Amino acid sequence: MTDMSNKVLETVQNKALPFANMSRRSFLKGALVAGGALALAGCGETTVKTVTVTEKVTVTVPADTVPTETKNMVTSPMFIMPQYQDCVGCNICMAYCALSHYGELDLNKSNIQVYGIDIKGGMVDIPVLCMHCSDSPCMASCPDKVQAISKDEVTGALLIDHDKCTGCGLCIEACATTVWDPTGNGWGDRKGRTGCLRAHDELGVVGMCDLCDGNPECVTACPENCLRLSNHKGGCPGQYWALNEKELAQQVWNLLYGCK
Amino acid sequence: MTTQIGGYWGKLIEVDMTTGKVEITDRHMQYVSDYIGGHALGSKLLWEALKDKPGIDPMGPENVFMILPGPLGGIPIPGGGSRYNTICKSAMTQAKNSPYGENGATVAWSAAGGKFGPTLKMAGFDGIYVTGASATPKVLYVNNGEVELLDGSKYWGMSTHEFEETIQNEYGPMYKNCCVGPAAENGVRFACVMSETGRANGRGGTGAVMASKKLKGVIVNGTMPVPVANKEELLDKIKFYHNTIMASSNADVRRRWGTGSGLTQRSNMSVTSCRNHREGMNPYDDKIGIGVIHSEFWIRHRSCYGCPWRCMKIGVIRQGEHAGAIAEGPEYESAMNGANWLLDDMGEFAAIMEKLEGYGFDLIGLGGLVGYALEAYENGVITSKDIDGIKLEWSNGVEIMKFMDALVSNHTNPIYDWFRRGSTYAALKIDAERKTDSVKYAMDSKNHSFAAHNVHGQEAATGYNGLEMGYAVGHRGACHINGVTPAAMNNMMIRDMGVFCSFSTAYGAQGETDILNFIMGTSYTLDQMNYIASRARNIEKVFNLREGFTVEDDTLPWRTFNDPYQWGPKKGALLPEDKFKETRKNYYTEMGWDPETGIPTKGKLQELGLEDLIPYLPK
Repeated sequence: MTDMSNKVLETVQNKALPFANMSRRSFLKGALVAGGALALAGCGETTVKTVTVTEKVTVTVPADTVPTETKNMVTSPMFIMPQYQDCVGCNICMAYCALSHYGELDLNKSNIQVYGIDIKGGMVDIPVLCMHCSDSPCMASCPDKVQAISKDEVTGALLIDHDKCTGCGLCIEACATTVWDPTGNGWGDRKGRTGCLRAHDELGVVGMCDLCDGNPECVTACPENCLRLSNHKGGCPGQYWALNEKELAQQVWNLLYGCK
Repeated sequence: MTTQIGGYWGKLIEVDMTTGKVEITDRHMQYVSDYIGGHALGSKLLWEALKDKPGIDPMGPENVFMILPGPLGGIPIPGGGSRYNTICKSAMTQAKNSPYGENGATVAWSAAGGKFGPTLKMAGFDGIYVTGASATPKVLYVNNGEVELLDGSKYWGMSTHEFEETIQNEYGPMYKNCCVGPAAENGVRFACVMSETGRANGRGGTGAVMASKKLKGVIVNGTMPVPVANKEELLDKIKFYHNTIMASSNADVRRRWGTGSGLTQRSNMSVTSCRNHREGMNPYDDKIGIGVIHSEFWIRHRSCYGCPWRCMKIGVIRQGEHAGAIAEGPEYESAMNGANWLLDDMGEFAAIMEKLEGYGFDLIGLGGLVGYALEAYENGVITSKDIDGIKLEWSNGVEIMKFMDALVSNHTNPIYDWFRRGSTYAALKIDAERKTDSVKYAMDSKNHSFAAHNVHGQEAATGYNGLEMGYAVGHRGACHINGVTPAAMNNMMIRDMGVFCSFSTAYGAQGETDILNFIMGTSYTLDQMNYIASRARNIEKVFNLREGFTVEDDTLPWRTFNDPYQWGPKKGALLPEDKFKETRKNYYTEMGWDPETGIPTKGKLQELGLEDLIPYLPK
């Protein structure tokens, strides 16, 4: 039975995917060479000279029509929008982020943080990460002398240069959801940002999402499809961005566990 | 010790609760290459601590309580990185005729998932080793390499849910904790260590031991990368194992149902625990079966650290008398609180689950005890007068909840002191006082309750029946994850050395060995792992023998052999006693133990390099 189905599978694969064993690039090359050969063969009948097809045949094609070798998921300014009610708190995104950026499993360095928050026995998991605000208050707040934060022109991702960063914490303040009033008035002005930036002893500031040069590891890794790419065209969803993780947790809790 | 083994920091937190002294030692590192970690390492450490002190009171200061994440702790390999073991001398088990009386108890170990174990590992420690007993409640605070024993008086008495919420509000959401609930604080022996509101180190009474040391909880924050042998390949390997586990055959079932699908499936097979293990089929499956749970209760899934399966389910009751009850589960073992008590109302079922999580009961132990109490009440062995007017009737969830409250809070009525010790203990006391025979339906082995698998109707496959061997010879008493044959038991021990999840069966013992080798930088073969597992199992066996357990304790209760199913597709099914005894003899022989007494032979111990155990064997 298994032999049989394997054979069937093989034939189906061979038929459906003639270039199954070719990488994208070699497929493309093959197509171009074949195209060139055909063109020359077409010409060959009318011209006197017979041209042998060599490997040196090059065909120039306008740059924008050539598919790039690896397709980026992010080709225009985007951000990762968590579907909060779908998060199961597996922390896989955190591990992948830390490992792919820093090569070690230091979850504190991870740009995405998932907080498991317990409200009356009902656990809620809240991913907190950079939303790439189009006005970028963190970039604006970085002192002129430092200028550690820059913006990727294609993806709109905010990039931080840890060599330049002095760890002054101005961007952390700019990114906060709310600001603590030291004179005793509690939580003061609401800034309405995600509060994803955190101070780090070694690196200065962590938490700025660079969208992994267009292929976010966390988005690919998330087993729940909870982290989704979204663009800025529809404007800011607003509401969630202005909340810290505890307020967010309460909202999600109301949505999931609320009754009566 | 300077040995560098991947997956270990070489630091163990040692807390002497009597003096309040906290030390960082490397006590465990000398055993790591011989016992890997988790359950096997814990058993060895327990043996070393208690080998010359047989018969100590498990609830006294001499007992040792350990929290041990395995070598994989903190590394997001599915089914491996999230788990931790609690190990101590059991507060629950009882030998029939121990020279040490009620103090003769087995080794106890229990594993749980979640995020507490990995966070402890990432805080820079391989585990916690608690001795002594404090006079006042304490909590242990661990934060990235710092340890401190803090006053815990204000937390004492809090339910596990309250403790979790308080800690998060006081310390912040990145702090994880494990704690004991009011059940353990009030001397209930079948109490667990709980973390993240629904993760329980349930069996063996490890929570009771933790509470006896007046350690309310452990609060931990950790963000340091655990040292591993092959750092460069780590991301690729993690991706590989994620794909392996997601492509395995039971991924869909576990992701969607957790273990809950078994509630209905095993009821249909007539092998679940029903009506105090007399029956195998749940007559109210249409009321509390998986269909109802799925449509009326569950609202979300939750994962352990690093696992894409999210088999933990959380639900809320939205209407009716018990509206607002939030509970983790039911998973399969919750049949002990549903079908085993013949519950017929989903709201009551959920409210009971919420209550038992808050109190920190072991749901299997509670299921067994209340099952016994319900049947004793039905037969007139105890009356409502004995238990302060509570009407303990089958299916009556509201009265059962009153009984649960009384178990925790009633210290005036001495009958509850018996109930707090488990079913056989209570049955023997009640029988001695009232000249009755209620021990017949105390469904446990070594006073450790049966899990939600009935042994009556399970078919023989390879000379071994279903779970009867796991229940009868389990080293912590009746145990459903002990394994059935010696080979399976070794596999289970390898899994518990990891510490791997019971559900990550896609790896197999060979895969688990490969993962351990990759992380630890070692090159164990499967044969070597089996050898290590056999060593650990023999140590546990000698520990139990020395406490006074004999072949008389490796048995099953009366009902299994004499009280057939009265309903369901396997009506009339029984386990023949002579066949059971023959199987047990085969098991002993296969283990290299004496077939009549179950005592390891000297030859076997020498073969395993355990000559130092020979003086401890019973004469």
